[in-house]
Amino acid sequence: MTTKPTPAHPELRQRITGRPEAPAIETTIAQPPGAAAALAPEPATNPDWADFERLADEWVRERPRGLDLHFTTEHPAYQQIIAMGPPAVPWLLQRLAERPDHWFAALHQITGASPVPPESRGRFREMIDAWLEWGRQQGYTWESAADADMD
Amino acid sequence: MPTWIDRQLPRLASEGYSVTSEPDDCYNCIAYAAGENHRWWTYITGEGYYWPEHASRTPAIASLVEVFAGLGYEICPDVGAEDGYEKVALYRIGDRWSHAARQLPNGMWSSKLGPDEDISHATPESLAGASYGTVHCIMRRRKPSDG
Repeated sequence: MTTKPTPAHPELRQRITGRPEAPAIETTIAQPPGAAAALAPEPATNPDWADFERLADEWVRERPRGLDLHFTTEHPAYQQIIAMGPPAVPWLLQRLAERPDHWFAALHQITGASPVPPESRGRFREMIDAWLEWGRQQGYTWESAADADMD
Repeated sequence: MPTWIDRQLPRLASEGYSVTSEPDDCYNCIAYAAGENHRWWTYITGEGYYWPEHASRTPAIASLVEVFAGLGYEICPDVGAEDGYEKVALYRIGDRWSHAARQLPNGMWSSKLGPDEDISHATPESLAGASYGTVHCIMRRRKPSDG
């Protein structure tokens, strides 16, 4: 099964979030055939990219400040992203690449993967690199408009 | 001062505090209390966070006590500054650890607030309240230079 890439359209983002979005970060992302389908049960609904972006923005905006992750990842928006299941994986990777944040718990809970080597544990940038490399190895791709402009 | 701190931590705001760093995703309160500012320490497994091997990997406050016991700290009754010792305060909400702070050489306390700012505050109790719960215990160890 191939999942059709969902465009990260700036106007759609603005309509969802109420904020203008920088146009240079427009991206497309492709999920590899069947890559994530076997990793977790099918979600109960059919989440799309707009749902994901709305929930991700909501978590960033509304999570309690100053608390550790075992409290902030309990926020309903974060839990709803986890409940999206495998379809959310490429969106999480894209978000991790473009706007780094603590999406590791969601990625792990959905996929079961643990790609961060012991020597990199807890090191934020190295954790990001390890998860993105895992995504590439699984066949996920993402391309930013900024990269495309340089071609 | 960041308005979120005044809003979310009213006791801290009334007792006074100083912001000593910008927000930083690279470390959290536990790492900071343990003397690090380059890793995020949490018990959560699988995602890639750091947690000392000597401690049980759970959200229970007992696990956080194990973390600092393994670093040479012991529980002590006195919150005041003591020559030759460094101290940490461990917090809990219910049975779950919620925060850690460390004592500065001048007797003030310092905390990293999740992924947000570092602050200095007068006492461990300054942070007690809905966000961080209560102070579970104070722990101390001899400063390495006095070893």
